[in-house]
Amino acid sequence: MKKVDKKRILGRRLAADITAEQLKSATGGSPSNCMGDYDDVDYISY
Amino acid sequence: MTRILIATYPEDIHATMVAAGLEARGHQAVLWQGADFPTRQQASISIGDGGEAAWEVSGPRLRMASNSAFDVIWHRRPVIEPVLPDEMHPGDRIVASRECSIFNRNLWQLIFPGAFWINPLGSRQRSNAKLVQLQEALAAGLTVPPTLCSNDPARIRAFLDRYAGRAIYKPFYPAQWRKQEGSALTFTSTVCRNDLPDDEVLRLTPGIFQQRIAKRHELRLTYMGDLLVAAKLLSQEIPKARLDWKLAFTDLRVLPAEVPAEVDRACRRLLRRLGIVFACLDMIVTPEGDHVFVEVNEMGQFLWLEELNADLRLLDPFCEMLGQARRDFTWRRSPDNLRFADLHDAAMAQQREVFARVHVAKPSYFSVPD
Repeated sequence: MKKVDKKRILGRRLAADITAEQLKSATGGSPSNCMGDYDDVDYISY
Repeated sequence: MTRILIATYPEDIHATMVAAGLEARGHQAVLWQGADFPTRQQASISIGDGGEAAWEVSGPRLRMASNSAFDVIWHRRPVIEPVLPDEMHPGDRIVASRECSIFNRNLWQLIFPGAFWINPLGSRQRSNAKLVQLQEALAAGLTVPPTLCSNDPARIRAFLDRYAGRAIYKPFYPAQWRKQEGSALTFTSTVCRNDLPDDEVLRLTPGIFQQRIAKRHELRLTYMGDLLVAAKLLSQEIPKARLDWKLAFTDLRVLPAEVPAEVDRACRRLLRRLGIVFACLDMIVTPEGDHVFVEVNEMGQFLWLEELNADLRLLDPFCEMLGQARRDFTWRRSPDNLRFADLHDAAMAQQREVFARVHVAKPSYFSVPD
């Protein structure tokens, strides 16, 4: 795994790096996507 | 004509499109933009003048009171935590925020108790508790992965040793750390001892640890009352999405699916046990064909399935359930069905050109500084 400080919580240590471009293309610009509630990305879900 | 109240926020395309669909079907849909309270919306509850509590809420494009008649409440995305002005005194802000939240929770307890609720207010909190879901799924006859939820470093290490090389971690709630460029997002991840932070940090945040389940494919089962819309997610075709299909983004192939009758019956038992009439269930189908329950999304996103595969129908049956105000609604597939593709652009334009100007945007629940 990538190096993230051992002082950060497990969720942050395991979090995936996503670029703003990936997030945009992730949804084709539509917030109906499964990821619909994330910020900026504008859109990712649960 | 059915009158439907939809709790939402301005960027919620599901609410906007369903409201448009309902209007097209001759119903009346009212969007309750929760982030407007308290800066652009006022609400009052009066008690003690004889009779039942009287309440009223008004603001941009909204006026309703306890004597308003709504047949259906779609408890889609209520905004409970308020958006307060930046210039507020920092101490006052904390107090005002707490008071607003408590007021909101009180108000929701009082409104339209006789309406058809999707989902019933009292069931929402319990249904969203992932550990309750797993317990109830087992009781309903579903298979669940061996699971540990803990902040105890010794127990976590013992679990990771037991499932060495085949353990996963996921949080209770999504998180997004804003970086200088892009974001770090929590998804389901593999985890081993070496990934763990120092014990004094590990114990600060409980997490969900599970045995990794081998996948042939995954299922997204959307229950709308008695209707099941089953979709097969071909997540294993995309290497980065094998652990968490959300990482496939729009590359994910989605197909209509068949679900074994006994699995469907168990899922329906689960929803009854949770007291909900709508849910999106995530499930793994193993290479051997076994079905393993992952989680219930009590108010999950569903239109993306129709967006990725136009053969699936989600928008039309959902509008029918609301319009008929009953879980055992009737619906049939036909060329006249409302379609995601037909309503999408107009709904986006409405959000961009009207809602963004008139209403307060939803506060971010996930995004935090890195």
